[in-house]
Amino acid sequence: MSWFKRSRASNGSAEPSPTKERSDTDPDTCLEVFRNHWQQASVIINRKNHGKDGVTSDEVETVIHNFGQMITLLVREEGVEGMPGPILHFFLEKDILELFCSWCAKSNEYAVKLKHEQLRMFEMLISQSKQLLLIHKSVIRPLLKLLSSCTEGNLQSSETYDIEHQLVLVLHQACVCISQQLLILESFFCTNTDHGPTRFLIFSLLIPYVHREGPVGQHARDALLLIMTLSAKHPHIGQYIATNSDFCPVLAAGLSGLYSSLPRKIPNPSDHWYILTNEDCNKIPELQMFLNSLEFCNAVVQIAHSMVKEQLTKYIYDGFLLPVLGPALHQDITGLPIPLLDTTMFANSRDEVTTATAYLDLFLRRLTEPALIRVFLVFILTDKYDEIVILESLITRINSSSRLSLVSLALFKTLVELHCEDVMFQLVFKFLIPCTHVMVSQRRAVKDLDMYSKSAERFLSLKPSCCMPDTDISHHTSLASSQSLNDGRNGNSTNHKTDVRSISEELKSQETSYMDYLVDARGKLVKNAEDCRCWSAPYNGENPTPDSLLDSTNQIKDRIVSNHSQFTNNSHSVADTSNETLNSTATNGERKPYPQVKLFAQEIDNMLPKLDSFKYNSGDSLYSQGKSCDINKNDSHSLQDGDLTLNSEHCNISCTNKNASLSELYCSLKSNDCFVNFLNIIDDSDYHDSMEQTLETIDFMYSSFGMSANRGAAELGESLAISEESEISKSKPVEDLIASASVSGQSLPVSNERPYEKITTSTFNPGNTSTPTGTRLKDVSSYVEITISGDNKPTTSTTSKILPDTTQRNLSPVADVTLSQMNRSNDDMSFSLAQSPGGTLLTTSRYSSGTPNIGPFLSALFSKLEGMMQNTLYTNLLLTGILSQLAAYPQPLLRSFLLNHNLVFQPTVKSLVQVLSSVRHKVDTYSYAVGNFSQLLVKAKKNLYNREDVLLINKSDRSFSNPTPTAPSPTSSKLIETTSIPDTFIKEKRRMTLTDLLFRKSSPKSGRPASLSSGSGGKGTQLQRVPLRGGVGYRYINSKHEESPDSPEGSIKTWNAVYCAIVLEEFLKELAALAQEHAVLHLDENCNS
Amino acid sequence: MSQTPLSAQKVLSVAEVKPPVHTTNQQPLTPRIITQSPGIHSNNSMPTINAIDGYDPYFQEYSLMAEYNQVQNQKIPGVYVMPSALSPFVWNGFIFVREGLYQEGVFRFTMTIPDTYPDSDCPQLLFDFPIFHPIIHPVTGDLDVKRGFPKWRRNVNHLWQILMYVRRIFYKIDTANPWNKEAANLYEQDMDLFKKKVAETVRVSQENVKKKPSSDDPYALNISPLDDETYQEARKQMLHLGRSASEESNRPSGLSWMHPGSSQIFSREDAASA
Repeated sequence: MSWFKRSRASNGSAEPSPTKERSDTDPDTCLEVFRNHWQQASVIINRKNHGKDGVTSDEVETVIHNFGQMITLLVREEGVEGMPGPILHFFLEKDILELFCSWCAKSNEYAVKLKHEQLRMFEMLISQSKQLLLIHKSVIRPLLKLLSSCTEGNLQSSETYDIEHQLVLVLHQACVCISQQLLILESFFCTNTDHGPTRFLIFSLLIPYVHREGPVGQHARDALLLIMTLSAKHPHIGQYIATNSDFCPVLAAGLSGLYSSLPRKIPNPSDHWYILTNEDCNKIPELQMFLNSLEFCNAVVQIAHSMVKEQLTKYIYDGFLLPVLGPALHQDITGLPIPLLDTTMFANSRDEVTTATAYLDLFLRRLTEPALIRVFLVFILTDKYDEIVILESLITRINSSSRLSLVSLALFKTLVELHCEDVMFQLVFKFLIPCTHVMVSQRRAVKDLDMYSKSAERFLSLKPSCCMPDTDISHHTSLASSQSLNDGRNGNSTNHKTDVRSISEELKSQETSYMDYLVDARGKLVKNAEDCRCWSAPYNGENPTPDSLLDSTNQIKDRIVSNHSQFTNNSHSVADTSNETLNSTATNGERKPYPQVKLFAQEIDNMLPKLDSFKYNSGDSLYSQGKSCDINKNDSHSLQDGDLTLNSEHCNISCTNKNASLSELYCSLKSNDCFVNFLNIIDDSDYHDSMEQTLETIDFMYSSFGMSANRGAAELGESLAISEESEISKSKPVEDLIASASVSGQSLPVSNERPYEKITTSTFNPGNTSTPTGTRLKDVSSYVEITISGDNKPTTSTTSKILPDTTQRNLSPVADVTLSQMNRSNDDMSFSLAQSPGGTLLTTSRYSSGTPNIGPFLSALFSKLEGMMQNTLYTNLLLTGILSQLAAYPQPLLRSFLLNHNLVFQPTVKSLVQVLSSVRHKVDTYSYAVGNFSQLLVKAKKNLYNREDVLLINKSDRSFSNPTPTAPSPTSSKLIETTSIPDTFIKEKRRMTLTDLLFRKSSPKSGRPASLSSGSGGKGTQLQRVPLRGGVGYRYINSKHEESPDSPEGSIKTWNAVYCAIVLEEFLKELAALAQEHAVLHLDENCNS
Repeated sequence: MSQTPLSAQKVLSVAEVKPPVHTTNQQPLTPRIITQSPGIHSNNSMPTINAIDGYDPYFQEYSLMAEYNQVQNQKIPGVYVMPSALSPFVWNGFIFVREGLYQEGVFRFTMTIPDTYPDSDCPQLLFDFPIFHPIIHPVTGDLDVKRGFPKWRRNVNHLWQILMYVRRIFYKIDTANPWNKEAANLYEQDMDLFKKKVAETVRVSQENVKKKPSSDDPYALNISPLDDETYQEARKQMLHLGRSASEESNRPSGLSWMHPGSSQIFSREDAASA
């Protein structure tokens, strides 16, 4: 709308004040004066019309002067009762304008000057006249003649600007007039001429200036918008613009042209730059120009006739998005796996792609018109570049370790915040609708609301212990003493003891208010729910129905779907049909190679460190053990033989691609935590041995499994027979099959390419298991109970029996079944290892495989979240910001997936709680290892509060090239130390939600302070850029102190961990608040529970 | 903040003067309103948050809000309830008996929820005077709630059930193990006298209702004669019920190009906006 304001303003200002001066004077006198001037001018004009010799400069001046006087008089004359006043009457009668203009046109020597003067006079006439002039032929005809003469490009460049400026002013004035007096329109929109540009000359003349910078472009665009507004009311104009003018193509091509002149890389961005702000735009004139044009397009789409709207969006899509932005977003890195992408080899392309992504994000944020947003979204969501859907490329980049990840996250944040159903469908709901991520028995619970804030409690319980002031005390005193034993170099341990109390208090004082989070959550939820009211479906697990997406995937599925009705009806012929479907899946599967066998040993190696780390998890899983045990009982009850066997069949059949889901066995265990617990319970002394044993077992199972796979169809037939024997429960497994068929079909190419160079850092610590025996036994029983339930064997509760038992089972006819289960679980573990950002492995393969699939987007977010400890503050802020945005969506499918801790997922699907608790463990473990972690925590929090203040005070200081002084980097915390902030100040600030500020109003850039990159004037602290495999790392070197270069206190790693702890703590509160608000805001959905 | 309970009260008075619309008139008390008002956030004794325990008040209050939402959705005929401004654990209410022996009775009550909710005993319900009823205490006015809820279990028992129970006792009279033996005896042996006594109780209740509530609770329910202004206000509010939300905030900005039931993105050209 600013466009209109602007045009009105310029219109208004053109009206000068001294109009009253002569209005009192006698009209007759005025006419007399007017005639006198004309008399003098016409002498020259008429003479030259007869004689052929050139005019002198004096003569030209005389004519211009007299004519100027005449125009002034004319302009000030009032009409008489709607009729022309005497001057105008005279003016028209004598056809004065025509005479003057044709005289001007004849001159060669003074052509430019005269043209300029004519335009100036026309502008004055049109803009200031009190009578309507543009309805008179004798005014319009010379004007049009003059205007078309301006298009003839015989001007010299130096003179062009002036003329063009005047021309555009005249055109603009004409447009203003037209929009005020629709009468005039018809005199400019000639119906008699052909459909060429002359038909609507003032419009055609404006088009070339549409992308101009400065006032010329601005006036031209204002004028065009006036015409666009007209077009909405007058369809014939709209039609003309859309079909007979080159307006739309010019606009779109202009965008492309302007885009190509944008900087391909952002000059000197700070380390944490990820988003283009208004200030950034102001610093890049080219970008500002582009945005002007883009916003103009947006305005045109907003007001123009629907035909114009359609044309323009189409041209932008075909002429800008596809051919220009598409390649810019990919360069030469399409489909490049992340590890490769992160190498220095592609640094250049990566930077360019990063910039293009930031541009796209900026464009999306600037657009307001749905029709225009639509083409951008169609482009992002559905179009392919080099055979890869753009959206997929973008999602993959989330897990890059470069800035590309940050910028991609920022783009996704923008997308998620659009509250657009199509976007959310493609990113999230498409994968959640089939409900395969949830245990079958739980699918009805998707809509459940958490009445007693149990989910919130769960989230809050994940708060890192280092963030809790009270527990901190005991921990640190014990730690300090243990440290003095272990770490001779660290002589500070006594200091720690004394500091602990004050640090604890400080931490307490820095606590953010949970109330703020609740209020914030409420606001978000209400807004979000309101925005989503226009959506086509509630996504509550019932609408769309879980099977509504089945018909659109692949051919196997089609075959199944043909029988699908039978399944859903729970028909008796399930056995037959399932047989058929199984066969179809099998034949499909067999074609695939089976490359993993040899690599299996390697994978087991990879498993080891993972298992080690699981020990930390075991404590946590015990926390929920009581509950999950209950669930297990229920499930095992419902799962009995039938389900189990069938699903193992299913495993066997899709074995060849091995990426399919874990078996139902592990479903019932809720997660492979239990499997790990099983490994944990093995006696400490035996630990190593039994581990080896297990490996052997697994190895053995694997080879026999491989054999069975090779034996092919015959074997499959056999196992099918088994499956038929056992009474199969119907719909569920079939559903699984359907889903897995589709997913595995898609994912196979990926899995084949998967590289297997995994890093093994398996140092084993046998004496480390800390699980109390009592709970161990409980684990055992739960494990055993479930493992055995398939065979209906009695439960054994001694650990020693488990292993032989499993081995025996492998030798039995059901062996293949069990073993495939084992393989799967192993595979899954190695996957999760591959996912942990410590390793540099591909992360794409895990989630694209397997039956239960939450889609690449959520998977990518989760896997990025798992590496939270290694992420920078900004990454974590963005990441958690996106997740909390997602969690604020009212749709039960998404809400339950993210926030309902009670929902039991399929084992391959990690829940947010699981991911966060693993992060929590990593943070806690790390914080124990770093002596003064809580001190650092306090510093970091101060730093963040300080940064907040700076942001509030100095909002403009937010650009990529302008690092703010309060960067979350090592030196800045020292900086804070010296400029200590009064506590009261901090407390005041606490009214603001910390994360709210961070997420929503954060300065994207606040880069590393100069001291860091430049070595900080002899202080001895230095940040070294260390080229690493796959990117660049930083090493913080402090040469003055006795700390070694990678002393945990100073390293980037430590600071990342510290900030991670803070973000995690706040994020948990945010999630808890969202969960609580969800429960009270949408209860009406299932009030009759 | 203070505006919402007011409007709720107004609506309440409308409701009682015009009984035919009673099913809809609870709607203005949407969750949105109630969660802001009844002192749930206004506790000055904010919990100190340093462990998960510190959050218990939040959990409790949100559970109570959820309970209140359920009560709203149940739309129990003739029963109106409003959490106290002083404590989320105290709910003030009215019950209008519309048929049966206690017809025309208007009973003010206070429901007190145990501090340990939801893992607690069942809530207590106290009438503002000892109603003559077999299971209402003849001296204190306490209702024997336990008989309906011998064991209070979270997820199974909800506060709206208590209100249902309260309503039912006036229609289906249970004389087993009475708290008011006289009432029970009369009910079984001398119905006429029982009716007489009940009529007296009903008369007292109607007198009582005209008095201001004795508590200093700003959200205590109060019945006053309907004036036209209040009526028009409430009427307007009801008529604009659906629209009010969108008018208050900025224009919703959600987008969708999906045809209902199509599960296909961009299946329509024009955007559906909220």
